[in-house]
Amino acid sequence: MMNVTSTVLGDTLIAKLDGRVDANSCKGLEEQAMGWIENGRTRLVFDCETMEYVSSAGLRVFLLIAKRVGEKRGSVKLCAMSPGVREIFDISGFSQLFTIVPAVSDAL
Amino acid sequence: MRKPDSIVYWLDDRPPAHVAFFVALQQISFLGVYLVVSPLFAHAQHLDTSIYSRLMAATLIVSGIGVILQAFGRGGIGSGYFCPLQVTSATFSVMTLASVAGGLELAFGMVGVLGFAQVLFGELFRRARGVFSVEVAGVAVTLIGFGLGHVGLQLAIGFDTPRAMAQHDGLVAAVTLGTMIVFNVWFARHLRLFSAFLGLLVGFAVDWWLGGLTAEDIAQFRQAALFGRPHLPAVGWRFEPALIPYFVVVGLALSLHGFGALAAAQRFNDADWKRPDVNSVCRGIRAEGLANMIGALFNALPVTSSGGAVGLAAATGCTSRLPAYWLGGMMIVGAFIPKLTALWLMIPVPVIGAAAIFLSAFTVLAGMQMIASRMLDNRKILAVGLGLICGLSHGSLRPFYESNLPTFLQPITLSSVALGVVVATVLSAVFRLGARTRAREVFDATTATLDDLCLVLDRQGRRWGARPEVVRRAEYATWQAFEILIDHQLVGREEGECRRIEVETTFDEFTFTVLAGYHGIALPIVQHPPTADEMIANEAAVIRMAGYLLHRLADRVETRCDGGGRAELVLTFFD
Repeated sequence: MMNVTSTVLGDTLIAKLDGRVDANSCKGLEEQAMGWIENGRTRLVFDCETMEYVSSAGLRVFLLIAKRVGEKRGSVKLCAMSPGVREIFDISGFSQLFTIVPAVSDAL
Repeated sequence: MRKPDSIVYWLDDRPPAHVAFFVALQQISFLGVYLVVSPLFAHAQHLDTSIYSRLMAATLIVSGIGVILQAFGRGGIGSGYFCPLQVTSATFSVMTLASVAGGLELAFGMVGVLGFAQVLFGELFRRARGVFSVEVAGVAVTLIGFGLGHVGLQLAIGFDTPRAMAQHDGLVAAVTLGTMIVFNVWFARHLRLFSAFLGLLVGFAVDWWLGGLTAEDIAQFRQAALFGRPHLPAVGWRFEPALIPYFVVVGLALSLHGFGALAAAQRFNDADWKRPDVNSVCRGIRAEGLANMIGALFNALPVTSSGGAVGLAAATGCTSRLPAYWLGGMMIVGAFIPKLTALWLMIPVPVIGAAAIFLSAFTVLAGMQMIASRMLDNRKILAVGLGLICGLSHGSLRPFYESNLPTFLQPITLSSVALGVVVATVLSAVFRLGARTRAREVFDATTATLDDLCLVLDRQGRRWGARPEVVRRAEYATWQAFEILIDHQLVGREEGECRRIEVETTFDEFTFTVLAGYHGIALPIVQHPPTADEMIANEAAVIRMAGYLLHRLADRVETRCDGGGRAELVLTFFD
């Protein structure tokens, strides 16, 4: 289960991810994020403080979002990851592809 | 092993000679508080001065031999850690029993039985590592810390002490403790290394200035001979088989105390400490036992590993073995210089009390961290909780134990550490009855959730006292496996039944293993991850990434198929 709540601060959209980004929930996140991008929101900040878990399917969705945002010359930042989630990004090698910061305030 | 950040001179480091000397001097100043145990025993036994002097000399020599044996760590003797030995009053009642039955010769002769029993108990700790677990070690260390703090407070305020309280005792203790804290917290390296010694010096000076040093103290110092050959043995030996059980029980009490002190020494010397090294504990208890057997020959009071001295080494940042040889040498030489012993006895009681309070803080927290490092289920919570309760309430309930318990059990109740650890150990052993180190659970692949899996693995982790980090890795990796098996249709149906995954977990203190068995296709495990471009271009790359994550999250991954449609995935996590 995952809940996504979004707020807009200036030209940045902050999406708070609450729950697990796995095979069940990643499709919904992908659709939502693509909708933001198509509506002109190309500066995205994902608040991962309450993101409990990310699977390989979830990693793919983050990659898709980053690719789409890159095509629009925008940016994606990931914030406040738990050690377990950060470990998954590090093991996969994908932490180098994202800007990962300790807190949302660091991303703004 | 990894050197903790707080340690300046580690186990194998060789500090400069002057540093090693002053560290040893600092230790001997702290251990001075336990020297008062010898005059207490002499007073209780109505010994004349000559016998008492022989006793002191013999005890000093054995303490010196003991700390050297403990640090030596070769030939199966000694833990290899800097772990000084201290005299303990926990043996008084049984030695008095023997003394009444057959004189001091019998009391000291039976100390040999105590030492031999310790050697055997050390071996027991090694073979029953499942019972003498991290939590039990934590109970021992915590109770050592609380006991030290309790004694420290009593000495600091002059409550229930051998000499009458002076008005300025509290002030002297506060100044001493404050000095130690200032040098330990706000200074680095050498000043921190000697923070306890500096506090002792300042406290001594303040006490002297306030008139704490009496004419009697100075006279005793002046009267003490400069040199004197120790008379060994002090009185002689006798042996009585009927007293064996009493001294064996005391041997158990001292061994449990030593177990706690040695576990604390290991904990203070390894930033990655996970569990007691029972082989090192066994060798350490063996060294204690050997020291006490030598003590029986020389007629010295029994000694045990000092949790306070271990805490002092850690608090000041020098846990090197080298000061152990300096300390041992000083103690042995001190046996030949009665004037040094007299000087040692002049250290004011509130000053030593302040030192004990200072050290107890580090020791208590080390024990609590040991306990908290493991997942605990109700069995372990009860074993630890009841052990701590019995240990902490020991002081106020001791008269009850003396009046109501059988005589042969009395020695276990002579110290809070022995009582608390015995309770925790017995409960730990009893609760292992019926507890299996293997568990099986069946999940419906269609409806299983991460929460269901975490519930099972958490429960097993608590039951087995696994480290939380290991269980978390197991949960993460196993759910990754579940996702791929389910989402990529690798789990088939078994003859009309639902798609099932059988999860079997096993634990043996060093490894946590998850075996997922199912009807279907083996999960591919890869050693190289797909690239980001491959992940974006091809959704099938997700399964390769999952296999790679499993390969990295688990310490060992195996997959197998039996050719009959049954597949297994085995994930092993080393603790």
